[in-house]
Amino acid sequence: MILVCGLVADAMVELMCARLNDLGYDYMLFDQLHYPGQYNLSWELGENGLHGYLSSPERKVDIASLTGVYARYVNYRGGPVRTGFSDLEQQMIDAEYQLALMQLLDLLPCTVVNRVKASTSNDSKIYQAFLAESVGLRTPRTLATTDPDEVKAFYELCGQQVIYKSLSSIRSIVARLSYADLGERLERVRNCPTQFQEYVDGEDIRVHIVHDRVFATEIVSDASDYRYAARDGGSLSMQAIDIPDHVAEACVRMAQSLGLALSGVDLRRTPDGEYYCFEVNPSPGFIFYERMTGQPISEAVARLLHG
Amino acid sequence: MAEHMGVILIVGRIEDPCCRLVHEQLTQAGRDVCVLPEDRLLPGLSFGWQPSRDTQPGNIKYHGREIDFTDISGILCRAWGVPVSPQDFETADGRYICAEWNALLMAWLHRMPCIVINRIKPELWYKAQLNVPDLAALVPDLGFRRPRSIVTTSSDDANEFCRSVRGPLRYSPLTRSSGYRIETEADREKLAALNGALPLYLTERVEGRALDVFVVGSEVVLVDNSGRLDGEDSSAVTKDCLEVSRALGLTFCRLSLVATPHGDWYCLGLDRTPQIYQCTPDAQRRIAQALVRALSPDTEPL
Repeated sequence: MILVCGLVADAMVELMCARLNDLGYDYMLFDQLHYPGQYNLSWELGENGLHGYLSSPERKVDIASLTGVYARYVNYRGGPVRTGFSDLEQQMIDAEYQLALMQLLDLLPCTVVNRVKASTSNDSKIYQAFLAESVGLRTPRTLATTDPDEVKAFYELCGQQVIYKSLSSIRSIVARLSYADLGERLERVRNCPTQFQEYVDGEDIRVHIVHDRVFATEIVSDASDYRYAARDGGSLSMQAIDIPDHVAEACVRMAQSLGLALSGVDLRRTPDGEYYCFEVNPSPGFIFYERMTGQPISEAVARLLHG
Repeated sequence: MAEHMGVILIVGRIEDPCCRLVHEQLTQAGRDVCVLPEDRLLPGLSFGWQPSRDTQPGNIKYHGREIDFTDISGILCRAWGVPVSPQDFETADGRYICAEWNALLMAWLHRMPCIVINRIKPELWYKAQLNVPDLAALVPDLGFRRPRSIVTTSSDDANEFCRSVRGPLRYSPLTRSSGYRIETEADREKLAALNGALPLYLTERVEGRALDVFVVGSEVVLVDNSGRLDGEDSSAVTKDCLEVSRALGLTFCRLSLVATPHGDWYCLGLDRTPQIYQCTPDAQRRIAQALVRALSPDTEPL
């Protein structure tokens, strides 16, 4: 039995349910929009280990029967509205219910794509860069600072080829730093530490790792951040490619070191054939890549969950 | 000699007795200490770091003082991830600044080659207090017994759990470290009122001698439930406490233990940034002395 946790409106959840149907695998969708209420859980931890169940309007599933879980930690907005509570109380209630589910997923002995405890490193890009370096992947020269003068010096050090982006996973949009940015606007970094990186020229490659299977996709775009190419009026195309074995193996080692059964690693290949790593996404929206290339990523995930 | 031993950095809150006592002990021993009060860092703190695989060049400038990272010999970090004022924290930008500060701080502590208390692993970034299920997930080979516990959205299951335990229980929110004893009919009525509004996290209440065990490096300090130093021999729990802290990568933590009359030891939770205000002055001093030894092995605490 496979469990899919998320919201029906999420395209990734829809894709995974469709793939599980295609393959004839039995699954239960735990629709968090109706949790608690139509969907419920109960689990107990004792001397004899973990036992309990999850239920939907149609069925009740013993957690011991689970071979795999696919979970999307999507924003909880749109969940059940409870009257008589302030916004803060509502947030706390939502957090309590989310944690009741997340703790269960962290405890389950089966494959979980992905456990929360494996996913948090994504909230520090610099921390992830160290992991990338530790498995042999290159990372761009980086500055994290609140000092405008350091930014100016770094800009010159990098031949005026610098991007900036968030250190955390919030507002994570990449932008080029221009000479015009070095004036009054740069003073804002005094309020908030910011990450600056030497611009690395080359082709973007997204590598999806499903356990030890590697799906590499080359993205060709003229936008600074290809994810926003359409919004910014840029071009975008994708194709499945092979990457060198040592790069693929490094990506697998990094995902495994984090305990991620599924991950999306962002690489860039320079004109010299060097591969730079930017981050590891623990909840990749691979539907975008699968649809454009036909790579069987969702099938690989489904088979992993089936065991 | 002190000027050659490097700077000890304390990142925390001035009102935190742990920060204050460690600061006092270190300065009285002649160590150079710099305190970064986390709640009033931004704007104002100048922080520059060019992380790389082998070296971590960078510096901190705060209130006229400049410290090169290579001059830092130890860091005591008791940060809560809020480097802005409470008013700023109420804004979306304020919360964004907090997320960025945390992302920087966690990575920086991880990479600094000096002694760091605590260098927190990603799985603990958002968990300051670990409850029984957290410990089961993160330390599956825990050397202590765990009380039976249930997490449920079903009042029927909660009632069945209450019946099967046949004794007092404890209700706790999952997101908070507080707890409420469930023993009388009135307690159960209050609990029933939560049904449908919150998931119920119930734990069998273990009767016995409650102890807080502070692990600091290779030392353990036992404190009883009135905050006094516990005079009992700690050898029965020392090894298992040290193993838990090692498994979680923590130099400083507090375990909540209960010793039953039958000689069993139960672990009810762990705090990775323990407070010591509830301890007596003697106990506070012992913990601070252990922290000084862990931060600066060459310094003899007073």
